[in-house]
Amino acid sequence: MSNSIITINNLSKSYRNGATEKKVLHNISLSVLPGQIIGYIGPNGAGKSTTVKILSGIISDFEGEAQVAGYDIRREPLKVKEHIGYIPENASLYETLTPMEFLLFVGQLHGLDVGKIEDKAFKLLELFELKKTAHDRMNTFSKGMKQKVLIISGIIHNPDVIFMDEPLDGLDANAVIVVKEILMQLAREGKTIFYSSHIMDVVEKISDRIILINQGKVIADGSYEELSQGREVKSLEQLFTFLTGKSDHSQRAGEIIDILEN
Amino acid sequence: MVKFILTLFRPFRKLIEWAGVNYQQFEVILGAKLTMDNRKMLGNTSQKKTLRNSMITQSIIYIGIGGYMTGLLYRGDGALFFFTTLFFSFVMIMVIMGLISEFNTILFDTRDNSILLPRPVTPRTLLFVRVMHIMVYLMLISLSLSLIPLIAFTITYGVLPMLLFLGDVILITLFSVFLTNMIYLLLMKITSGEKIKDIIVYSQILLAIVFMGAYQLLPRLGQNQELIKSFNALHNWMYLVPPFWMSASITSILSGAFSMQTLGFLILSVGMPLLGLWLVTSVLAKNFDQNLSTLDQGDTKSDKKKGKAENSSLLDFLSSICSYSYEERISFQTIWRIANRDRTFKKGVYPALGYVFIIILMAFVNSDTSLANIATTKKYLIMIYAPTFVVYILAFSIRFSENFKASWIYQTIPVQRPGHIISGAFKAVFVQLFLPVFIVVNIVTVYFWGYTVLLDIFFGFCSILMMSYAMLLMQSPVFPFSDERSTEQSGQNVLKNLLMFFAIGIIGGIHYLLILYNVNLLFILPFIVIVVVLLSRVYRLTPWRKMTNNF
Repeated sequence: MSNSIITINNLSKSYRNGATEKKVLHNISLSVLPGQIIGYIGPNGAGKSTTVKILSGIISDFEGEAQVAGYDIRREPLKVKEHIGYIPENASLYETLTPMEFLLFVGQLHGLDVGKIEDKAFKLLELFELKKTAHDRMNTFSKGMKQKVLIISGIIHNPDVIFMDEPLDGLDANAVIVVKEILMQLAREGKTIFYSSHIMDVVEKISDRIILINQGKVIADGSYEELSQGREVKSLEQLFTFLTGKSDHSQRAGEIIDILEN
Repeated sequence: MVKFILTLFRPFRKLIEWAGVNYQQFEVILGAKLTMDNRKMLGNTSQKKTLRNSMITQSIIYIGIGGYMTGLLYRGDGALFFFTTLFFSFVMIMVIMGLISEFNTILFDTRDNSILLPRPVTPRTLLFVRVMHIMVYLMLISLSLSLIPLIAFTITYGVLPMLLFLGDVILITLFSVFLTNMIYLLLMKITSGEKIKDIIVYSQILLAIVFMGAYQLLPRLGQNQELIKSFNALHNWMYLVPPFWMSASITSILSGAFSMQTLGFLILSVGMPLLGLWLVTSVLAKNFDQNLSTLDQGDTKSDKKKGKAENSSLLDFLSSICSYSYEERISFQTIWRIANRDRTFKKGVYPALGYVFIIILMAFVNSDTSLANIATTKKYLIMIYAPTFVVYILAFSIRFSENFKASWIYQTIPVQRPGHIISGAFKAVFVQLFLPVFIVVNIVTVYFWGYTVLLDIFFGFCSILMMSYAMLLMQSPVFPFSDERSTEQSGQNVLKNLLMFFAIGIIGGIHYLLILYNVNLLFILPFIVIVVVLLSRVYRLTPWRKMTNNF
């Protein structure tokens, strides 16, 4: 598709561990249009984070082809990185810096003017209720506070595509609502959101399209309505359970209770 | 300091850009990295205004060490060769140890993967930042160490010899970088990321012991004229020891005694560092990055073996004979395992094990008594009481851990007396770390002084145990590995512990007086044993209300 903002063809990735090789992605192909919010879901170890890391330029040794924002990630990684924002799953920050210092650092790496970054950072920190701690070192911050800084650092340079890997981890309910709203407004302005998560209700509410991967393969792709059509499911959670073939939850829970009681 | 260092790069901006590096990004990343390093050692202070400059403090310490060594330059015949050999060896050790211990944050900073890799920064810029980050610190170490020797060289020999000396300092630094790179590559080939982190901790420990040892030994070496005079001749084996390349060259040039042999040293001193530099930049750097990224990609098989079981039958045996209750035994076993694996704890405690031997060595190196006559002295008391230093460090360090947040578990367990937990914990580290040192040291004591001192050793052991419990009871009780190491907390306990440290001196002094006045220790021993039993009971019965809650 020529106007796709993300195109992946036969994407595969293996990790070598001594003599053995573990394949985590198997020939994934998909394309994403600008302005879409993609809910990228799957069980633990399905390959979600690996896909996001490849598309963000963190992992460079993969098989297949991937294009983001019109640039081939292997041939023009810097061009891709100029157009993307990445919000990782763990609050990976340079914690001995203050939020303002960290945002200045990130903004400058994206070539933004210092004055402009300061202005934007200050306003964003205020909106995320971090204004009072803007000049405190982050090693005393709670997980949620760090996550807020991480979210700001992923969007401060106004990227065209935002890759998010469990971005709401640690956020309080109000902050989650704010972030969901931001994502929907950004999408309306034509930004593409690639949202990897296993929190189903958020994915269900914000995603235009849901891609489910299991054991490194895409097993479902479509809107929630399309995917649930003809199936007796009332939520994405139930759909997820159905599609991943793990519907024996109550049986397993029963077994666990048995172990505890004996 | 950070701004000053960045300013030093500005004249080379065009050159750096010509090499394909994005100068603006280089400055931003290096600036952030140096700022973080500067704050790393300053504890948990969150307010910006309270920041101090740790780089300057570090430099002052190194300048002091360099100055301290400079005295060796004026010790008569052979002093120049002796001093330069010792100095270049020291620079080499400091640079290698510094590279291994301090720069793990640069080499293993996995945060870089998620923070820097998704940004539009070229790999060349990142590599250049990494190399310059390391070089800044190496220069900080080697030039600070060399400052006073350089001044002394200028005054004693003139400007040209000073420049020669400076050149040698730079060459030995470069060679040390090459050697360290080789060590890292070798380690990455044969072991896993986690193991390398362990090795880093051990080199930090070694570095602390080298510091202490050098501080104590250098002045004594300087007094040994025989040793200094032995540095008058060159030997072929010296070709195998890099610091000799530099020291032999500079000594030969300054003394005018030039031969084919010194030419060999000169060629090695210039050629090897330059060859090493070429290898590091053109060949090894590439492999290094590749190996590093492999290390970072998930666990390897050997990492998964990390949870290996300690000798469980030995642990079962020790915990059952040392513990009074079931809770105490469980605590003993758990803390034994953690103490074996927790890097923060090892870093805090293991140097103390080395210090014990240095303290003992000092007491005897200073002495006029020959080894043959040593049995006639009462110096075995030093042997008996020197290991107390370990207990002092144990009592102080057992509260800290890099995983201190995991101590929530203690707050949730239904134990009536938390004292059982802290008592088991102390016994575990006491048996694991103090006891082996005490036994090893006192095997030597028995070897030199004979079996007659066995009673003194047992008496000393009981006295140390008594003082240890007294020290623990004076501290605010806190669960093991439940606190983050911070400077403020360190200060609070240092005074109390120091008092107890002197108290051991008093106990040792009393022991000495008892021997002097021929008092039979067997009369006093039961009293001490009773006090130990009572104090350990009081400690074991510590109630919840006395526990310090870090949550």
